[in-house]
Amino acid sequence: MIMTLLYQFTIVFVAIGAFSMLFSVSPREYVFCGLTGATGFVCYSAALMIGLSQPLASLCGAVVLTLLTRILSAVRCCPSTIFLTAGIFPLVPGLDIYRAAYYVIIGDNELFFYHGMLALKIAVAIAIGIIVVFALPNQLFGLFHKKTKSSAKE
Amino acid sequence: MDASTTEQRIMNLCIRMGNLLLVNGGEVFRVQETMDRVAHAYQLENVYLYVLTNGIFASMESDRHNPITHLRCVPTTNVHLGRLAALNALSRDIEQHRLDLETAEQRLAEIEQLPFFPARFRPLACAIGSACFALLFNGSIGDALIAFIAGCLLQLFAIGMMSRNMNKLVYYMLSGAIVATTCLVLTQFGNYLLPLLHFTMEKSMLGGVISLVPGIALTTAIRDFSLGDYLAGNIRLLDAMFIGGSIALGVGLVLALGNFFLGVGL
Repeated sequence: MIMTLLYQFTIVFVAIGAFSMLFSVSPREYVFCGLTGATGFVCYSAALMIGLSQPLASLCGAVVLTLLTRILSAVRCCPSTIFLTAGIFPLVPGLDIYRAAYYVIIGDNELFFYHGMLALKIAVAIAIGIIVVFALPNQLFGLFHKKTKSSAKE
Repeated sequence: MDASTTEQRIMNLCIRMGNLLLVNGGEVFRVQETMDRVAHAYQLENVYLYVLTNGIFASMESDRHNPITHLRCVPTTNVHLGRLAALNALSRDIEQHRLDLETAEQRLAEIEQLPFFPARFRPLACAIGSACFALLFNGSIGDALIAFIAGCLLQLFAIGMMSRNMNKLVYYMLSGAIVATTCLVLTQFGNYLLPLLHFTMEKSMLGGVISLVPGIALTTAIRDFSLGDYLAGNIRLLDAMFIGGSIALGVGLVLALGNFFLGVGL
């Protein structure tokens, strides 16, 4: 189990690092983008392993991802969008959207509906996770703020 | 007269920052907040803002007879998160360190010139990302290899189409079709030549397509809804759904053709 999670962590880390380049993230943040995304996905994966349903596991992943995003955005003095945009990739229910589209073509309405609904549930679960964590007060994350004045002229 | 030109410049700075944020992938509330902050930092009173996913309306009424109004239409976005970070830093500096107008304008001009990630490395980055995602979906090494090729082709197509003003939905449909064709053909060949690698089309296809999926748009839409920006959220949601639909259509068309002519299943 631990090995699987480590393997997934590494893969997601590399994948998100690569995708963050496509979004022209500044090179200093590549590692942090990878870190947030990988941690979020590993939490999702671990939640699946202990038997949570897919939407619930996505919720866990999204909450951890967004928490880390907010902490990093305070530490790195960067907008949270950067880490969130890159980190959300592995959580997005791409598989189910793909299958839903496939079953439309095949003409299997029942399976289309199943995968479509699952994708919708996962998307809503992720959004709820993000919304809840963003609703936490800013002061909570102020603890992580760097107390330097170096950002004045740069 | 002098005062009003200063106000004009501040408003100009404000709207340029907002515009740049929106073009480079900033969320509606971030644009609104940033513009508000900059206006307040320069002691501009009576500034009214209305930001949508694809447009900004801003007006300032310092004296009743001559309100300054700015309008920006932002039809296309080209995500550049580095600029987003730089703009964020700029607005923070304006607020906290009281940058003067000259410096702020100069820094904004510098941010506008920040280069994109170089085009020659884009295919490689996309290919690596796609291959990793194919592995993540429990694909074999072979699937990762196919996704690598598909991701590479996808970015080459994107770079080739950058200067042409192609319809967005057609672009996404073609992108989906390119990935699907690559994966379908290579999986067939692969299973014929190297059956040991266990190629499954689904895995490589997912890896190849994931860089197109509008997942962020979907979650941002729901976040917009939660903040009460129903119109902005709707625009974003529709955008996500149409893009997703186009990709599915492109992939589905190729799959249907493959099913019909070659008898390929999932």
